[in-house]
Amino acid sequence: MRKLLVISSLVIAVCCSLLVQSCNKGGGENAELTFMDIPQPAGFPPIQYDVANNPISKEGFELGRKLFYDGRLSKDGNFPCASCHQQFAAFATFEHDFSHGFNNQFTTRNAPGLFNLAWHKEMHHDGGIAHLDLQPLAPITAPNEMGETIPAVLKKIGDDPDYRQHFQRVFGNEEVTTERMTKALSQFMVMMVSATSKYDQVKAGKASFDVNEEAGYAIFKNKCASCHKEPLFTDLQYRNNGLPMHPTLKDVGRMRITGSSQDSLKFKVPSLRNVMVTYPYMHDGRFGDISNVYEHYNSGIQFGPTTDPLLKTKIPLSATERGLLTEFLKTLTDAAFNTDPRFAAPQ
Amino acid sequence: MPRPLTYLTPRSILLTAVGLILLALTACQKQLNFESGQTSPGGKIRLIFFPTFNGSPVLPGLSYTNIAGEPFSIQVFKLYVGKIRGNGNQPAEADGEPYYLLDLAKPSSLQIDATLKTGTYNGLAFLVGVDSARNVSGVQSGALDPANGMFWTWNTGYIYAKLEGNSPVSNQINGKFEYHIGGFRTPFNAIREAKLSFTQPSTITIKEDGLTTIYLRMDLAKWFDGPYPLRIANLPVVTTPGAEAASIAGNYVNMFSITQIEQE
Repeated sequence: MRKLLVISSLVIAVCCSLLVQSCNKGGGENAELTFMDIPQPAGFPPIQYDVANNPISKEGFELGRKLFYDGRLSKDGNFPCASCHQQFAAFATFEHDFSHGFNNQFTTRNAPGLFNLAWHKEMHHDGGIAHLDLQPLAPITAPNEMGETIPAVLKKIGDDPDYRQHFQRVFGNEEVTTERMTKALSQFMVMMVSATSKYDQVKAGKASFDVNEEAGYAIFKNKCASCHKEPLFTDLQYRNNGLPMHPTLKDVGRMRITGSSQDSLKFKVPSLRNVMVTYPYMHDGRFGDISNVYEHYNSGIQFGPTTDPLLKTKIPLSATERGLLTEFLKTLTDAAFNTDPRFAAPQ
Repeated sequence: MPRPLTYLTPRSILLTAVGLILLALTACQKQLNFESGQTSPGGKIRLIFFPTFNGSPVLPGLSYTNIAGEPFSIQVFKLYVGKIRGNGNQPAEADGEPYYLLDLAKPSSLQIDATLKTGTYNGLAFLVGVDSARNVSGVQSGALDPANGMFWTWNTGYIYAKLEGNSPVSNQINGKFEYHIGGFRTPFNAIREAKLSFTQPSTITIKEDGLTTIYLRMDLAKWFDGPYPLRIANLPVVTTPGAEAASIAGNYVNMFSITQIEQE
């Protein structure tokens, strides 16, 4: 019996090593990487990010995290991704309508929170970016954000022996390319899953809403949930919610991408997860407080040819309803995510 | 002696081993298929592009006059071509890089070497631009690396062609004009295919181990002169996808002509 065990384990060991080696040729894959899966919280729709094209490893995630917090991705070294995407604000910019960029400039849109990106097919308020891997190139090259060029970033990163070691480990050799840099950033960002708020605990049967939260949830389901669809709290569609066009920015939203007047003033529906820590609100941060948002839907909607039909009768919200809604929205704050050391600046 | 656990019976061990070997083999299947695709017999083809303007070679800084009589000089001219194909009874796509970036400032970029399946062809076709799948499927490398500056970061997509220069008729600072043409979304898709028939001779045969050199003229006069008459004075700047970009792409796709074919 013992002999049989030895032989059988040998056979299986040989087979396993054959299996591992068989695909190592030419693929540049590193057998020593620790691969990870994107968490799939109960009830979430299927993940949109194509992991097969960019398998996520602990090492790749750590490289992405290092890049996310590295000022060298910007022209003067002052603006890492994390300068506009702060963890304690669910990776939005805390208390800023517009963020600060290179050479004392402002951005022209409010920085969105970064979480659950693996479920998004298009990035930006106007959906202009068709793949998460392409996303970092926009802020890096925008003159009023990080103000850098891609070749200059690749050179700065490639000149750093520590980075070269990271690239070697993750990608099989130390070459620093656009594709590798952005894929590493994606590996970090797709793992940023926010699904541990009180709301999620309640859904999982591990906690319960208090009476106010419960009443707020009922109002939410009745008045907000068709666009801010659970469990992502966005339907990921582009809609005109009746905001008058900003007089100086003249931001037409989705129309800037499609060129179609039917898309004028449409913006991607933002997730309400972590909404209480991501103020100011709207694509241009024009509302500093959630009460301004309620008032907008209650009475401020401006009707035009593309205003969403769901808002035809506005959204009447009494003072009591507003209070209860706020109690519910607070349950969407994911404190565990916003303080998770895995997503914090590397030491 | 206790009864051996069922999963340790010789039969289950054998099954596991066979299963793992099968798995190992299928894991490699994809790779094998990929390699076999490259072993079909083919001959070398070489495309050499000559940027010209109404017959004279284009050089950065020299002055030209378009059909509307607007004088201008060219500082930058870059263009993606790809998916090169031999046409005929049995059309075949050339092996090699899927895309090439032609750049007036880099003479070496104006020559493309690829391999085409052996056979007889009556023409040549290639995309001028980048197919829509590659526009949206993440970061590409090689000629399509966004670091080459032919990519819009804020509105995902490749710039298929760039023509920049100066003209006294432009109302912009320093008389600049800038055409950055791209776009893959309907209705402003600017991806075009150039289709060229062989004329003298009307067919060519690609032989294994042979080299066929095709000389192509790119007449930049066609950038302005075509179905969409482009005037620098009226429209000196196009740097986003849209109706203008799609129309200009419909002009410049006509700039290619075959001037000579050599076979050895």
